[in-house]
Amino acid sequence: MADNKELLESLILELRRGTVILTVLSQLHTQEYGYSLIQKIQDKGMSMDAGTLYPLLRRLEKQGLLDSTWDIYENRPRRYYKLNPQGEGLLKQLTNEWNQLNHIISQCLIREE
Amino acid sequence: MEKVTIYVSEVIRYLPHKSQQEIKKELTANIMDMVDELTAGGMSEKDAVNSVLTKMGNPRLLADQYLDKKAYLIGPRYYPTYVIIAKIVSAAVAFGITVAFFVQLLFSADASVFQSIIQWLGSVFMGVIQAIAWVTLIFAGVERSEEVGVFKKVEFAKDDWNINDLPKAHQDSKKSDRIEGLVGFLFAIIFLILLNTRLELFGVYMFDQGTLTKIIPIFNMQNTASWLPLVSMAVALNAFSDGVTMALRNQTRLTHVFRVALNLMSFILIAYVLINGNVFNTELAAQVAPNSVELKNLWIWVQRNIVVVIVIANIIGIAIQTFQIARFNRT
Repeated sequence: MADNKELLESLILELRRGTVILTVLSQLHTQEYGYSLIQKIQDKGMSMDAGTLYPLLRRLEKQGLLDSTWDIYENRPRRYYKLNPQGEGLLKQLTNEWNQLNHIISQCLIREE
Repeated sequence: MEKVTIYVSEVIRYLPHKSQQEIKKELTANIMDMVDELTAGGMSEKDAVNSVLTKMGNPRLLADQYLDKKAYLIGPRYYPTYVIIAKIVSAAVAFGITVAFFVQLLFSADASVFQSIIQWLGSVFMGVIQAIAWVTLIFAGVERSEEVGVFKKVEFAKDDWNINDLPKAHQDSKKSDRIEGLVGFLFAIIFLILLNTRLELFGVYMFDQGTLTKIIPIFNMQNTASWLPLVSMAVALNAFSDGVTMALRNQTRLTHVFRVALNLMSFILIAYVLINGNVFNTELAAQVAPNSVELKNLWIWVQRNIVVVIVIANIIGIAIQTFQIARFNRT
């Protein structure tokens, strides 16, 4: 039974992995820094690992989907990230893809009588 | 706070220099934000720092996430080929060293057997490790060269695979083919070792009343540097080709093409050496029988025509292999 629980956890992790980027991009229409973004995502009910998110933000910037700026006027300097036009476009396409997938999987999950 | 500094330093020390300061600043700010939230909830700073850093996890793994690079030496695309090549090369090295030691043992009377066995084990161990290290290094290089796309066109690693790349026929190697490969492989290795350690054994053995008086070498012993390395290379290529036949459970068009290419290279080397080099002992006839004109003429004839014999034998061999490739192309 313990094995089953472990397996379930690893499968859930696998399932969520594919949705991380979509989740992050979807929350960056307005600019956020690392920790504020984690909170924002958590407030929506999704947990996200800081160790996954911080490197991911840099990667998405490197891929040309996000722009970043440093705000050095606060008590601690923060790097803010925001979707750029290319990121906005890609998010739109990913969202469509997600909606289709969601629909298809829902169909698959209906038990045939 | 000191712990946070240490943690962040541990993360960035694995990262490229140019991004270190940026990530240090950003990561520290993010960690301190998380700590602040916990202390605002009533936790002591020390506990909050411990809790946040524990949650962030192993700094090495976090650095890996930032690096976003291949975290493996040889990926799935090349791994099976890597294993086969590593096996062939290790087997060749281990076998070669073994033969060399037997030869040494046979010809040096005073070596103690026990000492020789220890030495042999040590040499095989070191030899195999070195062989694997080189093969690994080369494959790691190939894996990384993918970023520049050098090997993208190689059949088994192609990205834009299409249905025409599928082998036309699937054929399990016949057991006899694999045994033939093994025998060829062993002979080539023994030949290679003897060529390079006991060249004088290849010769005409002169007996006087039943006892060996001397061996007159067939090969040119004076200027070995002009031909021996090239001949060795040719034999090694042949050994490798036989090694591939021996190691593979099934043959594809690619493995046939590969073997033909190896044999062709080996053949070109041999032909080049025979045409240009002075491989043979030109004085052989005079040393064996100083007064025999027939033998002298025969030896001259042999030296001239051995090129022709080898060319014909190789052309037949390569033609057979090419025919086998054509068989794979037949639908």
